[in-house]
Amino acid sequence: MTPSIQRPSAQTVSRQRYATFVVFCLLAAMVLEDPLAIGGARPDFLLVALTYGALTWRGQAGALLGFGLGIFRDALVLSHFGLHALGMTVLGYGLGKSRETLYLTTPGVDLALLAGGKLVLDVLILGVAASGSWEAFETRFFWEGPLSAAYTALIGGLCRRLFLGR
Amino acid sequence: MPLLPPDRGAEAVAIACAAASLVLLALPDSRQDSIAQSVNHVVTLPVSRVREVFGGYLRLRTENANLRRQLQRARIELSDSDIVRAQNREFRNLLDFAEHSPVHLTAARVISRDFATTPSVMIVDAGRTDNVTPNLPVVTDEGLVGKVVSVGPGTSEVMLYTHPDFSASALLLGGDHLEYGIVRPSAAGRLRLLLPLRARSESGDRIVTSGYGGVFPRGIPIGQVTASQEDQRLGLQQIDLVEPVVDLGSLTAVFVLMRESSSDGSAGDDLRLFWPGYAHPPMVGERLGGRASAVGGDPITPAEVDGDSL
Repeated sequence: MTPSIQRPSAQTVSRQRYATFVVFCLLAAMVLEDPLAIGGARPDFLLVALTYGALTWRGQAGALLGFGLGIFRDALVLSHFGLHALGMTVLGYGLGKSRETLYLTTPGVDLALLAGGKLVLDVLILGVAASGSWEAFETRFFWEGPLSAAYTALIGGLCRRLFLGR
Repeated sequence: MPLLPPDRGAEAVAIACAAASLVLLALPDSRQDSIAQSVNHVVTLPVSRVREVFGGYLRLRTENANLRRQLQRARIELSDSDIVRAQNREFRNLLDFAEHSPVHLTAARVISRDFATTPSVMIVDAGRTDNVTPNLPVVTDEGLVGKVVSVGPGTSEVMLYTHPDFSASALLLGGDHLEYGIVRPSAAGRLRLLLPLRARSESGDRIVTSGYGGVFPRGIPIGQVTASQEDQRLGLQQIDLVEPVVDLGSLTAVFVLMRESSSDGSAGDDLRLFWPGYAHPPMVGERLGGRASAVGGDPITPAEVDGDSL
């Protein structure tokens, strides 16, 4: 008898609870991110919402969610409209796919995906925003990127405990 | 039949979303800005409303805290001004007293005191440079405070009437008679007047310095008799309890009563001291007038003095 591995499913988080969590993340992205910034590092609440949504409902939902949340972020940033939508669409799809292929479901893996997703998104966003200037990219990414990724993972872990009950 | 196989649906959605994003990115900057502004307005409107309300609340809280601080400061200032006003009143009284005093007074501020329940010594800021010497009386416009016991260059130590070693020769103004005795400290900041057993005294009789003893001139108010009792142990003397006229607890400034040049052993027999509300006690050899004029009211002039010889 082969040991059964529990695959995460949509049933583990109810849609209502996740919707509440998304609303919280939207508000937090507008209100809390700046006050919570430490130096250049700031948590990314939208990425937290995207990651848990994509990990729960897989690639299709991840892509749609990424696009919506990306548009929201673009509306807040008011620069390079569509860039976050593109990045988060790719990321949402990728995270969803990773859950289909990666059978590990421990919280640590989820947090690692969260931190990794933040780094990937920063590479994309900063790469385009730096407009080819390596110095600008280097300064922002290498100083703020890893810290922001760790910070986002930390906040994501807290949110997971508080809102998603896992 | 589905357009795409089920396992390709996610890719199709992702590609569509990515393509839409690229289209948005490819728009001219002005167009991008206008779309971004519109979306921004929609998504941030509720939050900006909440922020407005919450910000107003925070502003009110800050304003409230500032107002509380201002009120606290104003209360402290008001309390300070009350203190200043009280001190001003006290200094005016002292100034008025000094101006009308027939003897030379040196004003001094109390700069230190012991903080026992009943203070017994204090330091004043007049010393040798002000010609202060030991054994000079220390008074206020109300009456006797004590005497100087040691003098430094700029300060002096004053033994208060509550000090266990304090004593003063006293005169009881009994209306139609006078009684001589000795004043000594009693418990709780009061005084005892030790009188001969035959002496007559009543509650309310005023006590002034007698002028004997070489330290205090005649006529400095000491206090008022509150009760009279016989010495319980020996029955040889009468002890009157005296309420002092000077409240030592509120003293901030005093006068050192400077000795005149004619020192004949009796510090002030030749001085005509006057305290508001007190009669001039008759000098040695003078006669005392009627009760009404002797206690309180207008001072007795030598012409008014008659009656019992002392």
